[in-house]
Amino acid sequence: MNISSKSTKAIVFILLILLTGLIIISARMGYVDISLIDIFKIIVSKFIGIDVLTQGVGNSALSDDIINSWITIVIDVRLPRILTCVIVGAALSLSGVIFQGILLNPLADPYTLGVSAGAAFGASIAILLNLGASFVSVPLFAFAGASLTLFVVIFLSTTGQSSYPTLSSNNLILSGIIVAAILSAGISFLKYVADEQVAVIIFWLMGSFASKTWIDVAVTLIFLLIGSVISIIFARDLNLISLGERSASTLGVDTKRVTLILLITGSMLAAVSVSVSGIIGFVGLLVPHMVRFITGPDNRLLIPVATIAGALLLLLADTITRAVLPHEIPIGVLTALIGGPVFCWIFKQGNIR
Amino acid sequence: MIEAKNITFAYQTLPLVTPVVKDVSLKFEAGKFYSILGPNGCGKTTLLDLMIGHLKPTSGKVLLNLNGVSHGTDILSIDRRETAKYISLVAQNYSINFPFTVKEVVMMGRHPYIGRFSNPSKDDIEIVNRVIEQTEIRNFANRKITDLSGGERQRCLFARALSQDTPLLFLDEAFSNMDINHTIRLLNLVKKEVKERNRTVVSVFHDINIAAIWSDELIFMQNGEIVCSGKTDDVMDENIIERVFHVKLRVEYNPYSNSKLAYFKGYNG
Repeated sequence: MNISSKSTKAIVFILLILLTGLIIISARMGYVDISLIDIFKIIVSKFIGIDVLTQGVGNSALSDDIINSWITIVIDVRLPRILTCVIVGAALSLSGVIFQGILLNPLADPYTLGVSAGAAFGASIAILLNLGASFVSVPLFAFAGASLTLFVVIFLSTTGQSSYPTLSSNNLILSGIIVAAILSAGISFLKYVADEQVAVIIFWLMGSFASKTWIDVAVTLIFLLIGSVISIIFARDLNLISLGERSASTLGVDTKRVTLILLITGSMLAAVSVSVSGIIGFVGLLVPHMVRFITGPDNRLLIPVATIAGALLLLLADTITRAVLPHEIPIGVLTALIGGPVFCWIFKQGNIR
Repeated sequence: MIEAKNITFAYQTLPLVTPVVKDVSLKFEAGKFYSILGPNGCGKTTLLDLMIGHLKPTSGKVLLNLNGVSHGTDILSIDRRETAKYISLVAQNYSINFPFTVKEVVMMGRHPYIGRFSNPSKDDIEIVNRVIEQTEIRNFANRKITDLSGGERQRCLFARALSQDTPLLFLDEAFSNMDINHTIRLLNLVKKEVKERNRTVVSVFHDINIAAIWSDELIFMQNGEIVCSGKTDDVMDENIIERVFHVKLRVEYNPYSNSKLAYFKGYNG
């Protein structure tokens, strides 16, 4: 486990530069054409407080109205969407790393434990009860659904164990599948009784970053930061857990406590992601996988790199659907359409064991 | 060195709560190699799990008498990370799903000595290299553990436990898929550690003769209880083994192995 901290820093640094570049390019792209220089000026004047706007934006012949509308487009529409997407991509990928680590299964992802199904069920209820009018209730219900599901799954997998209960990965995966199956039947039922709201539910389930606000950015960012800190603290314990619970335990890892903490962390990351953006599959499954080819399985390296790579990839996908494709298609559909075949290819190559 | 005092353990889920380990008291001393023998399901692995503090006994205690801990400390009362400096375990072959290199896996044995955010020290690297030489896994030290055969992987996990450098080493059928050459080499390696560095090895075996050749003392288990324990020469006895395993056998001293060995009769019509 001699990772050179230099190469880690170099990879992280390069990825961060790429990400920043993509954020700026992405902010430039869209229906209204605003030049890169103007994007810079708007961002600088809004966030750093240096008023460069009075020096004129773009063509000096433009009226104040146009400039003001540009500011609104960049600051209130594009940036919140872009940043939410970046954070959700990072969070999904990070929770994928965590789940694959604690479930000892390179095929696990944030959805293996039914967390997403729980969030989807919660959101469907909120939409069905017409609480969707208020912008907080759907995310709130989604989050509550995800958390409740997690507790049920943990409860199911700790009963029927020894007097010193452990969270075995097999139990967790099986409980997750059972709970998810029940919840998807529940979602189908909700859709069935939803009448005209069915379209809203379906659209939400397919995932989207449209009309995200700075509140979404702030909420997801807080969770991502907490999640990153916790997972970096336990990165090496996560390495040891891959030796098996018994061996990890004799190496000084409190396996039950670490598993529980990381399980909650990963699920909260997935829950908060699903609650703001709907269900976006394959990011949490695929990104850690692809990154593992480059960095190897050491979580101390995998965690930071996969987190940034997830952000990068999801932003790329969202920019494609938002600004490149003639028609916006739901991001969840796009990631599944791209990620699915890629996953099949990797799987067939035999790189997944 | 380590002592079990009247430990009993039962899995709560069984409809009839019959203990898997019943009122076992044992004492393992420094500088000795112990083997636990018994039929499948007699509670050997559970007993090991109790001794290493992985399972909590339903009643009774496991006490440590080691340098660095106060005399008679309950193993469950100290931090896991601290325990890891005294006790290491080679578990039965376990498949590892992530492609760590052999070297990385061996370095994991140094975990209890390395701070959460620090890198391995010179000493750690030195110990890992030494253990890799000793266990003769140098020629695949940079390969991925997922690409190795079962026996090779087992040797890496053995090296990992040795790099932990603990006074107590527990082996749970650690040689089950290793060839005879490597089994003998590793057994000699640990025996040397026992004699020269006063370490304690407690091993679960299925092969009575391997146990008899390398162990100072044998412990026979049946239905969660200790049937008999003592010096190898004293307890390598036809009646005891027949009672425990329900097989016919003959025990004789063999000058080549310099130990008593068990002989069995094969099929003859």
